[in-house]
Amino acid sequence: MADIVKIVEEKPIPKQPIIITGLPDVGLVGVIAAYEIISYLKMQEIARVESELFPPMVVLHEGLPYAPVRFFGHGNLVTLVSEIALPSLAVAPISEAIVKWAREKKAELVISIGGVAEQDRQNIKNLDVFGAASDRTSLQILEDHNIKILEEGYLVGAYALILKDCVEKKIPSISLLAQSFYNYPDPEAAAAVLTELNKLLGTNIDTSDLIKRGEEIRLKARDVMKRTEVEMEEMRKTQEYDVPPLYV
Amino acid sequence: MEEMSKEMYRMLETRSIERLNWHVASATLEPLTYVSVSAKEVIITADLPCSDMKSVNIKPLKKNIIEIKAKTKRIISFDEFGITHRRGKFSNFYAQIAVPIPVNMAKMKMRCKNGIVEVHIPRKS
Repeated sequence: MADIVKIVEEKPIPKQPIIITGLPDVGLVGVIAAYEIISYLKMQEIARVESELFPPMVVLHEGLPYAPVRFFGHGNLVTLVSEIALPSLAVAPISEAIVKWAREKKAELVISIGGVAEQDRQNIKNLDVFGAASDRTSLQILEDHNIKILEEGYLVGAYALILKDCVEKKIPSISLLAQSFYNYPDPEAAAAVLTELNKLLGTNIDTSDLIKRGEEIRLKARDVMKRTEVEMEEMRKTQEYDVPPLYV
Repeated sequence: MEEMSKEMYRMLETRSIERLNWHVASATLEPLTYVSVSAKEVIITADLPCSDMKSVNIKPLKKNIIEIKAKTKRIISFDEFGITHRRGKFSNFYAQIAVPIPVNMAKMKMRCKNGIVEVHIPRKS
């Protein structure tokens, strides 16, 4: 049977890449941050994701059609970004395909960047960024960089499955999640994530433009946010607010 | 303009699926909104990027519906997003939001911060 999700490589993929995933989720934090990485590092498109589970569409840029979910590369850094809300039914297959591809490419590390919804977000000026990891070694990387650990709680959605699959396939993986609005695009949260990512990777991605253009980004990202909210409801995303009953 | 916005909303409200965020005829944007219920109140927020916070106007329309209006700081057009196949200029935000439980509208309070308006309405005891 053909794969439900295919990753089509268009250019050589770097060896042992660090793969950053920016998928639509709360506050579109991962997507906004991924765009900034791609733009700042002038990354080039290297692969696209195809799936019959996606809506039948292309994204037009300067009159040319592109797949809405693509990988971009620069050096050994590879960034995945989606320009559409991922249908909830596609989340599991796409997560599985990303991790499978990461294993094929012998990825050094998979980093999922995104948000964790905070009810009091509007009153928080300095946003915290929390990390979770697939294994003790990756957890230590977070601690070495003074990144707060998301000690207890639930993760729901693509990043939950990527982390779980990375455990199974023994791929080092980290999730970096900034406090964010649930259903409003949150460029400040994206900037907070990038600040921590800079520490982890030794990069110097400038976040000042993200803050400066914050209102414009919020305006532009409304439509994808609205559609993402519908998909998050399908996935019962608000379970992330719940408290786990047991610790074993 | 106000009547046009209301008519637009009534028309769009009947289409519960695929409601558009941008309405060209009335130069109106529909904001993203969020409604939460706590033990004592209903909290409604609306994201109003690029809006003039001094122009925000919120009032109850019925016992279970509030109306949010705001003017944008400048005219927003599709051109600035690189959209060349559609014409549209927008100068206001407009939304009608259903309140899910009985509330005391007379005690409604609001505040604006960073382009987000937050409305607190006490629950009816």
